[in-house]
Amino acid sequence: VAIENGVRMAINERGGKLGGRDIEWFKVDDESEPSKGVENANRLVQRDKVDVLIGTVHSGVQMGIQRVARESGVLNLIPNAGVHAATRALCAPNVFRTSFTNSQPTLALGKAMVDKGHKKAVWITWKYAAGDEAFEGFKDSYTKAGGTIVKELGLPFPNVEFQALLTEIASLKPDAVACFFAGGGAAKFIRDYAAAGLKDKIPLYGSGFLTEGVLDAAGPAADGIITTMHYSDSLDTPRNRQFRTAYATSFKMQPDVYAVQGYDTGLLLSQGLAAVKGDIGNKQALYKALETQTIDSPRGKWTMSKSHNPVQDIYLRRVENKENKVIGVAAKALADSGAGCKMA
Amino acid sequence: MDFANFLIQLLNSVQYGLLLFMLAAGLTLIFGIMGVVNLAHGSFYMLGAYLAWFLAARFGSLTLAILGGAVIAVAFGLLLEQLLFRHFYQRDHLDQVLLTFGLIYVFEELRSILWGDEVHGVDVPQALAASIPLTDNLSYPVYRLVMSGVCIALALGCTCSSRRRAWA
Repeated sequence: VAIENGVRMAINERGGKLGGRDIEWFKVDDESEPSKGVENANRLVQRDKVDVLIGTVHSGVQMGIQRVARESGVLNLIPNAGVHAATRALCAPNVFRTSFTNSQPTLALGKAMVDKGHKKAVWITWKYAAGDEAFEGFKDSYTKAGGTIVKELGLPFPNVEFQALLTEIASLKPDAVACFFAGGGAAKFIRDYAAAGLKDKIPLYGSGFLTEGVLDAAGPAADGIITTMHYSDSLDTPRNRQFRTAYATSFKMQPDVYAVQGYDTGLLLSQGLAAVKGDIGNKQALYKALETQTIDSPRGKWTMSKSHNPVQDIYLRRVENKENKVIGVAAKALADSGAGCKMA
Repeated sequence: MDFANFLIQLLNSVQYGLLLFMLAAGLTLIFGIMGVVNLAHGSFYMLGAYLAWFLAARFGSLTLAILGGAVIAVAFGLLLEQLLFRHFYQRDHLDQVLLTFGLIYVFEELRSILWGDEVHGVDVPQALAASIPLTDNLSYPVYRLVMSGVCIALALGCTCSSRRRAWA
C-alpha cells in the first residue's frame, strides 16, 4: 500500500499524467506467492496489455515477473524486491530497480563496524536467499576493512527461537554482532538479544531492515542498535521533510522506506516518459532516458547503475527513542557490483 | 563448547521443548477427547496472541488481559462449536480438515482487517522482566523460566485429569 501511495503521489504531483498522456491503472494482488508470479505477471501483460509493469515486493515473485518481462519485453520497474539476480545475472534492458539489492545496505556496514574498533564479529541471519545475499555484502565489506568473521550463524526462515544461538554468541565473545532480520522476527530478535543480557555487552549491528517498522514492538531493547540503509524516516534534509509532510497530508499516515521507493518509482517513470514526450513505443529512447535520469529522492539524489540498480548513499543510523537517527553516511554513492549482468 | 555452555544449551532445549508441548497439548486434547482434527489450531493460538496484545494495551495490565482474553476465547470457542464443529463430529476426518483449513484463511483475513499487518509485541510484566546472570556475559530471562514452570504445571494437570478420567 505504501508503495502504491508513493507511486501515485509522485505522478499526481506532476499533473496526474505521464509525458502528456493519461494513465490507466491495472492492479493484481500477487499474494507474495512465488508460484503464481509468472501467471499474475502474464495476466497484466497479455490480458490487460500494460505498457509498464510496476512490481514487486517479494523477491521470489519478482523472479516470476522477471521471466515475463524478459520474454515479453514489457517495461518493468521494481519498487522493492532486492533479489540480486534481477540486476545481475538476469538483468535486462527493460527492467529497472528503484530500491536496493539485498547486499547493498550491508555492503556499507562492514567498514562502519571496523571503524568503531570491532575487529571480530559474529554474523547471524535466516538461512534463505535474502539472508545469504545480505551476508555477501557484509562479508565483502567487513573482511576488506580488516575485520574477521568469527562465525556465521543461521536458522531456517522464518523461525524465531533464537535462544540457542544467543547462547552460542555469548560463548564466542565477539566484539560485535551483525545480522539481517526483518518484520516480526526482527522485533523478537532484538528483544531476546536484550533479555539474554547481551545488549550492553556486545553491540548489535544490522542491515537497516532490522529496525524498520518494528521499533514500537521492540521497545527500549532496540536502543543503541546501529544499522545501515538507503533511507531513514528521520533524515534531516529539506527534500525529505517536504516529502513527509506532503505524504502525511495526502494519506493520513506516516511514510516509510517503502513509500519512498514507490515515490521514486513514480518519479523515474514520469521523468523518463517526459524525456521522450510520452512516446512509450520508442523503447530504445525510453530506456536510454530512464538510465540517465537523476532522481531527486527524499533519500537523497541517486542515479541508475549500468545494471539498472540505484547508485545511492547508504546512511549510518542509531536507534534512539524508537527512531532511526541518522548519525552519518556509511557509504557515498554505493553501487551494487552487478556481477554477471551483461550490460554492466 | 565447554561444560557450562553445554548445560545452558540443555536448559534452552528443555525450555523450548516445554513451550512446544504447551502448544501441542491443545491440539492433542481436541483430537483425543473430541475426535476433531483442528488444523486451525494455530489460528486460535494467533487469536490468543492478538487478544493479549490488544487487551493489554487497553487495560494497561497483562493480568487483566489474560483474564479478559480467556473469557473472550471461551465465548468464541463455544460460538464456533455451536455454529460449525457440532455438525462435524460424526463426519469424516477429511471433512474436518477441509473445514478447519478454510477457517485458517478466514481468521487470517479477519485479523488483517481488524488489527492490520503491523508488527506488535507485549511487554514482559515487570515482575518477570529480570534476567539471571549465568556466565560473565550471558543471562537467562526469568520470564522463560516461569513459562517453563507453567508448562510443567500444565503437563502435570493433563496427566492427573486424564488418569482420573480413565478410572471413572
